[in-house]
Amino acid sequence: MTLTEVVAGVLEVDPAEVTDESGPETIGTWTSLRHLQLVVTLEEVYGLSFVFEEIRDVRSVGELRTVLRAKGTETR
Amino acid sequence: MRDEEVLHRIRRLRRPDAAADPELAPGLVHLDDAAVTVVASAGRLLADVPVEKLASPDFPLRPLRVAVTGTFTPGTLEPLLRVALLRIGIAAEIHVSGFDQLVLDLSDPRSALAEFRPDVTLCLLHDGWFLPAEWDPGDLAGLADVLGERAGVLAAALRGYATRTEGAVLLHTVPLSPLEHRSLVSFRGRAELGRIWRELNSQLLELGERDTTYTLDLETLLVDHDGPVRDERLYRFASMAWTPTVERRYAHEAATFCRAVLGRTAKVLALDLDNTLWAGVLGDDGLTGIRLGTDYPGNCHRDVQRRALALRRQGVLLAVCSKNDPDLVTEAFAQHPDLLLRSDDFVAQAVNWGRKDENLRQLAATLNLGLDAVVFADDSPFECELVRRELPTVRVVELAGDPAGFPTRLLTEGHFTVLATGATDRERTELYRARAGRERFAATFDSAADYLHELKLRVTVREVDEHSLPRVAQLGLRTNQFTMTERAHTEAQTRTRAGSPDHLVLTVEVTDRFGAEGLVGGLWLSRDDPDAWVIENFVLSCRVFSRGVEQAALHRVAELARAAGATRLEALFRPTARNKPGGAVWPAAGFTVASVDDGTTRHVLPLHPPPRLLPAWIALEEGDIRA
Repeated sequence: MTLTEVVAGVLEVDPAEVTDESGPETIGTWTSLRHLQLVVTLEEVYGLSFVFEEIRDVRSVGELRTVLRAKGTETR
Repeated sequence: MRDEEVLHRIRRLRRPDAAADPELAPGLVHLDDAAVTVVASAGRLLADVPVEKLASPDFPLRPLRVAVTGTFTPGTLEPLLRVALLRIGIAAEIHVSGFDQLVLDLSDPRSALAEFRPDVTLCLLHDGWFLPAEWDPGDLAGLADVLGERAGVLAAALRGYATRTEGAVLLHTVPLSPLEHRSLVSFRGRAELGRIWRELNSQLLELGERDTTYTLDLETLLVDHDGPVRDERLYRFASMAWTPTVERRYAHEAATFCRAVLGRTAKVLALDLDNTLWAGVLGDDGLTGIRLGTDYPGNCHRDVQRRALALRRQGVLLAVCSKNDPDLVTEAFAQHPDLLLRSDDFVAQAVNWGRKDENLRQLAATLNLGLDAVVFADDSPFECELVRRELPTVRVVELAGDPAGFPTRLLTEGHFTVLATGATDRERTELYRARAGRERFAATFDSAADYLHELKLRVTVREVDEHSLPRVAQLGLRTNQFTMTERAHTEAQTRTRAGSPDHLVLTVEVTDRFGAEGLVGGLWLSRDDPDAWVIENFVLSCRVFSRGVEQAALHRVAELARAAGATRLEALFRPTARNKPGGAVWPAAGFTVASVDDGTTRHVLPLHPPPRLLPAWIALEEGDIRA
């Protein structure tokens, strides 16, 4: 699964609607609860573990990609 | 179907113009091994898919209103529950309350949950709701009191709710976080905390023993769960007390509960033999070569038998579905010292070289059950796939991998889960339950006659037909006690007689106030001498002994014989080691011994004046019989 697909799956939107600019402001279903579910999902998919502080203030898919890269995970 | 394909098909269905996809709901089993996040994604996507696009005649979806309320935030339970329910044929409308709404939801008659009018209410509980935040490790007695009070609050809320809802309520036992355990420094103190905590769980279990409230023993089910019950980050940050994988486990159990509420429990377990009930191949390895003793792997297969026997003792019907030589199988069941299951434990045995899907189809027809009531367990991936493809409603248990895991595979899905094995009005359809009810019912009467009158027995004698023929032949071959010979008619012989004008094969069916017992007896008659009808064999299931059913059946036979112009009934009897109960019927019905010839006693009953054999407590119903 690509990062876009993971995000789309958790947020229940079509992957085509998700870009690196997408965030809580542009996708209505991106609530704080879904944000947590997204974190847990990313941990499972990429086999890593976050400290919540690292990721709770992330505001877009692009920023997610940056955080993942910082942890040594390149995403498609 | 792979994970991606399932998700792709769901996405396609969400488009307003998408065509229906009847394979999708049964195909959700393909997500069984998928990551929990994939299942959650599928569940979220499915929320928008209309039921009409998922339903099909092969896999009907039943509606159910399910409410979830709890003491904590159920993070991903809703989508997981949606998938778990759809997967087993339930299209649920799900209502989820927010954080810690449980007591409010249950207490307030106008709560959003009450107004949703759920058929099933799932109550989620966590240790933090029961434990005071600052409990004193030096005062465990005080802690026990507080836990008791919390349980009391819950019990009171449930009592009020039970008076207002007709739906079922599911509680569960609550695992205690090891963090609390380790907060105590002494072993004695930890043990005491453990005891206090189990007392709380005992109270929760007790709450599930009355009204329409049930308790799931989640603490036990989490013993083999992989990973922690809670993720401390999710718990501290968002009050989520369960990790997604625990939610998934719970969703599976809750869905099984919902199926039991709907009464969609499987009734028959059809078992393969070679490498399922024993290790090895009977036809190749022989009776002494198959393994099922106390050593591995025989002990694994023996345990499969033990579990199947336990199911049978709780009312599940067992059947054999095996490609094998029937004579070898009969010999094995009769002679192998380590077999726990014997021929008597099975209601039917399909032992032949035919296709298993055909055998299962016939089995269901014979037992007069739908294919969705059948569970098929086999170690062969080929047979499992064949049955899945040809009979999508049959529930397949593939016994794959190490045989040590077979018993778990057989039982984990919960195919046979029911709400209670006692008898209530709604649950009385199953035979074993009806019988349990009859016995309790009997205990409330002073005399047997009172009891029999109140049973409201109805007996129907009718001519055998295509549908009942295999069953009555089976019954004849299987019956040892109420039978007139050790040489019962085979199915082929029964079929010949059914088609012959000189013979008549009759079935006996019984119904009472607890439900239908179904086909319980058979009569094989010869009428080539128009003056004397001869009862060649008469069998009756031991389930209906001592109720006068045999007299009622003979009454009907006498009526028929008289109407056809016969002047007497004759009955043959050959004693065996076990058929004394059968032989006793003739003197009891007024027959006298006419002759004894080569071990066969011929009894006779004159039909003038018409014999009165019908007990006062039985209503004889008309069944179709050719002249």
